[in-house]
Amino acid sequence: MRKNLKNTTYTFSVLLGVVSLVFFLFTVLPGDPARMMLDQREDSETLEAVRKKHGFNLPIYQQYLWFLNDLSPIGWHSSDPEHVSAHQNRPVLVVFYKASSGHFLLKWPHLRESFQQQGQRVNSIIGRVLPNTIILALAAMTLALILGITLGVISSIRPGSILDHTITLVSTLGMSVPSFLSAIAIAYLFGFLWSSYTGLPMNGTLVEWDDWGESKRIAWENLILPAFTLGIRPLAVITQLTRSSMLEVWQQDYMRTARAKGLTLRQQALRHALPNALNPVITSASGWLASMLAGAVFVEYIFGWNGLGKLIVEALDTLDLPVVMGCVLIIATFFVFINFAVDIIHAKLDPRIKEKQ
Amino acid sequence: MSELVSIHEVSIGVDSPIVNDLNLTIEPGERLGLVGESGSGKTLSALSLAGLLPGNVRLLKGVISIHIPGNMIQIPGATEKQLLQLRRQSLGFVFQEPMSALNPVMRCGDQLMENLKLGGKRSEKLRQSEALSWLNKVRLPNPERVMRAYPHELSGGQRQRLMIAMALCNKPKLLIADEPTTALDVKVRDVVLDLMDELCRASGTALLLISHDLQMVAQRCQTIAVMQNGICCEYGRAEDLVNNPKHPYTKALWACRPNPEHRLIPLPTVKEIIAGGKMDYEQFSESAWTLKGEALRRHPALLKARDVHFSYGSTQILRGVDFDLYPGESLGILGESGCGKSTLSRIICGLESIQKGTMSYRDGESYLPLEQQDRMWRAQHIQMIFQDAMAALNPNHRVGRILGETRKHFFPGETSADRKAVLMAMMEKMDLPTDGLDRFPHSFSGGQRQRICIARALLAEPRILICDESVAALDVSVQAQILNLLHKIRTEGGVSFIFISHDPKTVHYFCHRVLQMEKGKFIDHG
Repeated sequence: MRKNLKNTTYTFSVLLGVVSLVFFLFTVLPGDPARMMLDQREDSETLEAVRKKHGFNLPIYQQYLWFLNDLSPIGWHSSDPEHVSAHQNRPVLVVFYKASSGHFLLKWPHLRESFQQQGQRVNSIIGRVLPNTIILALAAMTLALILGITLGVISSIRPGSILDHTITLVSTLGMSVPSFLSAIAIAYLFGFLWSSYTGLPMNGTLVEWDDWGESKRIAWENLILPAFTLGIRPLAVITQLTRSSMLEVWQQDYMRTARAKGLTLRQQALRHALPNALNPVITSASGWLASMLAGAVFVEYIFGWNGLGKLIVEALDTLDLPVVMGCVLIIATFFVFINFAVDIIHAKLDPRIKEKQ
Repeated sequence: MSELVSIHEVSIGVDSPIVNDLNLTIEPGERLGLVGESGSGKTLSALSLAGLLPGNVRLLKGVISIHIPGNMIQIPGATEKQLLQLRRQSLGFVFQEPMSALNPVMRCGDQLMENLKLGGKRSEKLRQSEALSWLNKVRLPNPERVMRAYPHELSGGQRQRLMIAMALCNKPKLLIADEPTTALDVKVRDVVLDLMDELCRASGTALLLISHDLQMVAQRCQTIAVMQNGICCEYGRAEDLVNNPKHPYTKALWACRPNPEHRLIPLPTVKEIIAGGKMDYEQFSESAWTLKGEALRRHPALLKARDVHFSYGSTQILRGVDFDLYPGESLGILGESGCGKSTLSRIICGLESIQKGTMSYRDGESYLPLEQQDRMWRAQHIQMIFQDAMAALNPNHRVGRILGETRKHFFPGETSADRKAVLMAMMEKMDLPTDGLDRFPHSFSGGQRQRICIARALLAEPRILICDESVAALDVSVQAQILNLLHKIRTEGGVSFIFISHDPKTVHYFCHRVLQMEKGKFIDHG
């Protein structure tokens, strides 16, 4: 119970810290948001109106408080459509309390509007690309975990054998090739040169219009190459980590007990060694997963995958601060929750950890 | 078919043999003891029976034949399938470290049921009931709880009981117990050994008991083989080995054990006995020894502890400890693991701070409370020697740096040439090779490492030396050398010893006075 409270407080303060840091970082950046929103039109009256509507004329601390109010799932919002916190524009879920001046409501965290894309909501901009990123990251990670653990276990069984050397060599190669290079190579080779054999396209995103532009369809085949490319480096790292962790476990006394019981090599490896070797692998995999959820800029760019990484780069390019801010917040949330999940998995894998907590 | 196992002219090793021309036989139901110091090849010999030799250690020559019902397995030559069958049904293993011999992430019940499954019990229900009945047979309290518990939730003795259940649950023909009780508390040892004996007798299982403890093996086994450096130097009936040992090494193993009833100082070491040279041992009678202790206690006490309390969170570790330590005296503290003796030693040398009570140190005429002294002062006056010498030495530092660091810390004024001379003199005194200063700890033997630790402590020129289980992990012959060394330091004067151990014989042999500790208190002043 106390641990839960501690964890919740921790999560909350990390998120608050990120929010504040992002907010103050972007307020000191140069650029007039009102002007950006109005597409350089020099109309002082309209400018003033926009400033007022978005609260850019308020002192920083007030802007900060309204910003937090927008992000918080529970908040107060004015019923005046011209007010900074007008509820009309918010993704409302439940209204708790209605008054003439405003509403007290439960809502999705509101990330405000994009400066550049004609006032589109950042929520919906991110909402469009987020599933793509999550699917790509999960696919890449699943691939890396399954293949990496399998290869690591195989190569740990007979260290020093030709098979082990081959696996180690290939995974070192995989670790050292930068993803922009492997992305281009893979897209060219499998998506272009041999595409008649593989049947895979060079680029494309998850949801595509069909050839007549009439209906959308989910193009799973577009996922294969980017997921594979993105998975190469974690795959290599996981292979080597599993291998070294397994090698250590093989030396343990309980593995001698397992041998003495009369278990086959396969039973020893899968039932006794692997569960003991997984913890460092999970730690490293979680880090990779979190950073893949933050978007894989190169891979997304080269394969034309419509994901978070591509969105961030475009937003930074055009100084679209609300979009950048929204992305950063989403990424921070991912990191926090993955850490959370990893703690739980660790305790599941190793009962001794639960004891210590 | 009379014998169960016959080992014929077996040599085991990597390229050169570690075990040489071993010949042993085990009859069905026989209890054979294999005795030797670490590195004598006794464990390898046992592992070779099941084809379990580690890494690239191989059977170089000879034949092991094992008769199992309806079959005979010969190593080398057995197929992998035969070996698996042998391990599953005909052999049971109990290893030394109950802490690490069980899979930490698997429930105890699952580990036991896995053995039953390998032994051919197909139905899950049957396995479950059989497992529970085995947990009862090895007298584990609350078997239902143990089934669901993880190994770390059991005590050392309980884990070893579980190991015994796992080893015996398929009614093997031979139980191989490799130092089954070395890691356990003295009190639990006999209980576990009795249990093993009883269960083996009940099922007619033969026992191969491996230990460094000749006396324990002699009590338990009918035949004993003594191994030295990979060679079986004496093999015969237990009575003969006890009453009439033939080989000098067997004689030496008997003689070099510290024995308070027959207190020889210094202890004869294995090397001396084998060389046949007689050193001038001084034998102290019990009364002379007591007198010596009393003479020391006529001076005012060096360290006074009064009503010392300590607790970790809500667990009380020490509940009111009183003792005096006199200059030049050796005070023994005897107790089981968990009784608080190590915590006490940590408090004395300042690694933990005292929570209630006082500890004062005599300085000239007056007594100073220890907790008011600064770290440096305490560390210089009170030094400690730990149990595990390998863990106590930084593996990345050369011995010269390890020792020099201490000296530099406490005697910053010394020139480096002087320091070097002091270190060299110390190495010589500790009987360590003089080129050792440039070497890393791993290149020394266990006994030498412990001597490095002692040298490190002595370089601070302490008044009190705390030995926390300092000889517990060592072989008997090395133990004798270290005890002799400590005795030599004691006779040179100036140092008082607090000697902590769970082994009554060693403590009573070495110390003038022994305090028995139980549950955070001294129970009897003797």
